[in-house]
Amino acid sequence: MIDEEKIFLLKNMLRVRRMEELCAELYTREKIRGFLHLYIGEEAVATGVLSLVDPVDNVMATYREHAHALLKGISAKSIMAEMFGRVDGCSGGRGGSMHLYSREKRFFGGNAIVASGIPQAVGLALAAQRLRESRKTICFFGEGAIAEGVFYESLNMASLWKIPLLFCCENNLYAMGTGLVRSQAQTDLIKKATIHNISAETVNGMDVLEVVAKTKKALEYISNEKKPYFLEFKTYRFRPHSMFDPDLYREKSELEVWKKHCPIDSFSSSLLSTQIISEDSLKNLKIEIENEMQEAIVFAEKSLEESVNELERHVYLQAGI
Amino acid sequence: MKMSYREALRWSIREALKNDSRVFLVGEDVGAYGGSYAVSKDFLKEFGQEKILDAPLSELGFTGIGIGAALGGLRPIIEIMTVNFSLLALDQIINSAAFLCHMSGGQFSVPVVIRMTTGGGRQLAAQHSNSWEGWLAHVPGVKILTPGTVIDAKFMLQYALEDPNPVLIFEHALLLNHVQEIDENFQGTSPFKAMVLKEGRSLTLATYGGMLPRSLEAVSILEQKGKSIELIDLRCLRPLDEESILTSVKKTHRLLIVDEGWRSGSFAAEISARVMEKIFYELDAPVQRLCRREVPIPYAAQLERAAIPQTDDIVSKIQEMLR
Amino acid sequence: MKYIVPMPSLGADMEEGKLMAWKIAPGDSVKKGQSIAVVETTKSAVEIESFYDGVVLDVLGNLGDSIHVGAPIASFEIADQVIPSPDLTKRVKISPAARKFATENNINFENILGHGPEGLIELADVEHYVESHKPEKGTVNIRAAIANAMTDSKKEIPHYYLKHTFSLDLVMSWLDEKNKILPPNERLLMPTILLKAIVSALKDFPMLNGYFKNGVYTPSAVINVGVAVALKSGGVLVPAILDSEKLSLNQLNLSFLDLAHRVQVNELKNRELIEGTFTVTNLGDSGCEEVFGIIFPPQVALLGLGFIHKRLVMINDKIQNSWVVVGSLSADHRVTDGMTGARFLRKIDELLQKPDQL
Repeated sequence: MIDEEKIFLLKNMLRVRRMEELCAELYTREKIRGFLHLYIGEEAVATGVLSLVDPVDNVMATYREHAHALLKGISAKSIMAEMFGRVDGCSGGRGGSMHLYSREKRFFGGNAIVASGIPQAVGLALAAQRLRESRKTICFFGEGAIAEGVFYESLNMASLWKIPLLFCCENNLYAMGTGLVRSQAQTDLIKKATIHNISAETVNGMDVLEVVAKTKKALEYISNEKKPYFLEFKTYRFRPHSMFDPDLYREKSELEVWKKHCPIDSFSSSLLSTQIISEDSLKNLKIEIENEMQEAIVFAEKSLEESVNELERHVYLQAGI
Repeated sequence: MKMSYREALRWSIREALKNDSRVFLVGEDVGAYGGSYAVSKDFLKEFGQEKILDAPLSELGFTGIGIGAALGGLRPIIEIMTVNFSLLALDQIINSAAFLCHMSGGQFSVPVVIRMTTGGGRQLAAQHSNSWEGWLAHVPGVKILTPGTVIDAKFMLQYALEDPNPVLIFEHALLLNHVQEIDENFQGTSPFKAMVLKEGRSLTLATYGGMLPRSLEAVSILEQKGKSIELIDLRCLRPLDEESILTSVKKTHRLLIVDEGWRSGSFAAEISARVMEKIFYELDAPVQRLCRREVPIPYAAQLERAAIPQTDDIVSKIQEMLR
Repeated sequence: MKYIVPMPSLGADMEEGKLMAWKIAPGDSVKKGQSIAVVETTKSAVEIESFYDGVVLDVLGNLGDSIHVGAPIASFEIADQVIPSPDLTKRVKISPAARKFATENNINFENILGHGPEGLIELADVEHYVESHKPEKGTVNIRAAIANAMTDSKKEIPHYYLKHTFSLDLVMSWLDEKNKILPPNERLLMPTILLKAIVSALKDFPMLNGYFKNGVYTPSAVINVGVAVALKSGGVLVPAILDSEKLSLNQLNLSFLDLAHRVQVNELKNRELIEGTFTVTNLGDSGCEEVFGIIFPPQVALLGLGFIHKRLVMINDKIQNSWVVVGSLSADHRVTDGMTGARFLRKIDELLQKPDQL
């Protein structure tokens, strides 16, 4: 990997981190409402995987999807406007934090029902396959989704029908407040895939370079074998499940241990020590990111609220579109 | 020419598969078995495995896959073997298919057609005799079609596939062998409008799907007794063609709704309420409903018969309303 | 307590009354029996009386308004008491469509007979009602009321007719003598004499003075002789002189004059319009020789009088130029036979030959 690529990865992780921090702050200032699930701590996963994804590719994500949306090419402005519930939001203010969408960027959400995006991602991949389109399909979901029946149904059919797509399990160890060990009899999540004859691998989700490397390998497999592949990313969220979460179910010490493996801190230290990036460049990078995010907030603030007269729009798409 | 409801369904799916390369059929036993109601018999041979997808017993999963495929540019026809199993797929139907257009601010729609066999009347007992069409019509974002005639069985699918929104088609099990004389040259008419099948003066009978043939029969019986009944085939429960109902009731001043769903919270209740809200002062008598009795459908024939509106029930209900 | 004065029903066929004059104003004290307003019905203008002592709180409705029977026209403050009014809380059952149609056509649906379940008034009932109550142009509703009553009479009552020529020579000369000594305003009128003879005769013929209702004849204890009066505005009214059998000739004369006046100025009382027990129709003014009258139901007899004229008659084998009037009786054959009617006519004749005893 060339240096520019590494700097690019660091920059994207920093963009995600900063956006999420600002979201938390804006939430406390009541600019953002509803549920807000932050990705802080898990940045390496989306950053690494999506660095290998092209604009034509399909991405399906969960309700913790700000990072994925941003990294799939949706602007911070339209993401922020969406969270503000404004017309310039990427879902026109109809979706909010959990329902970021972009038809243009082929970002399919934004699913707030756990595991509901999984079969849809299989369907997207199936369509691409049938239409002979050379687009990849990436499906993100948390380890909580593995408890849902539709996860098994979807993996089974994807394998059975040889549908090429990448399943990305972001295992942050907690489904809301229920730890993996308290919800799954089999905590080796690889096996959840291999029972369906889907090849799988575990990835250190705190190491962006490992994420990139193993994702690359997986995508090559999918491309060659025309089959699905399963990656489990071991990661950790540094913040509670949502802004409503008092975080009672895990020890502070556990959090502190994981924080030592912060994907951004470790990666930036490494880039600094290897002089791939200088202190000044890093500082400038952060200023650039700050500007991007502050502009996004100003944009969101200035964006209009949709008139309630328009309430019943978008229930159906008019024929002919 | 004469055609059965089953032949009409078969014709419509076959036409769709032939005419649009984006169309495929997915569902349980649609391929090798030929469809549990023999609607897709021999399709696997004719169209191959890419177009006729035998799905495992994973209603939620294959419905979700169908939705994804629709998002990805295909035109899936998802067959849920019977309405009863649609409960297993409800999350995908409602939370995704119905809501996606709105949640995405109008960017995405889900052009998927979900067919399922509905209704009771064949001694299949409680778990296999449901009528969920009225219940699903509660949800904005889906369209609900209920073919009650051979013509509609023949043409509704085509319109459903042309629609960019998710369309649910409820095909009534008791109608499959129903044969009707149809005009070979007829090209179908928009299914999203109600249709006055018989004009009359004294009372409007609004119904759909499986209750339609017996309603027609009841109207004929009453006609011989000098009663003039207007029969409306609702055809589409959502969006509901309210105007046709109101227009008819404004003429007859009396309304009976025959609905195979349970009375409580029924679709019949919805129509009744709308008529009350919009044209209360046109009514000459309280709106009446004939619905499924409030029990899970029993196995025993006489009990099942008593639980679902029959021709006799419709006749006597109308006679009671007209004295 | 507050009392709402409803538009009274002044006859079974009355649906509404037109408010012609108020005789009270808010703040006035009202006595029981006092006239409070003048209302025009299909038959006449009628004074409405108060049934209670009290103070007027408010008068409702403008002059010229047509108000449905039962609708409020005024409110009084009266002493607490039980008011024998109909149960106003009882809701008329009417379908929404019928209600709307009735409202649009300004119809008080409480008077409509419903044919739906439990007497529900349905749209068809109101439509039928409207159709059958269309007023003819010009004659307003009087024409319709007469039409209804006369149609019912001709349809239901088997009339028989008897004619008798009354000699009036003795009456005429007696009357001339009598009037010479009376002040002008008390002078007796020929119709009064005839009326007095009829009323006196009726005392002996209760089968001709009463009501035939629902297949049963009930003789009346009093004689309220109805007098058919042509209205200047068109149509005929038959107000009654109440308790006429108790009146002296003089009183009867005054009552008759009073009634004739009040008919034309529209100030009849409701009882006078609905409580007649026998009718006299006098077409003498119009020059008709005799009348073939139609009974005014539920009465059972009617006496018609033609014009008073001179005629050559044989009296005691001598031709004499004599004053006569032809009286013709129409009577209900369900109640009496011709013999009764004939005796009644003869009785009148007898009485007319002894005018000083009238």
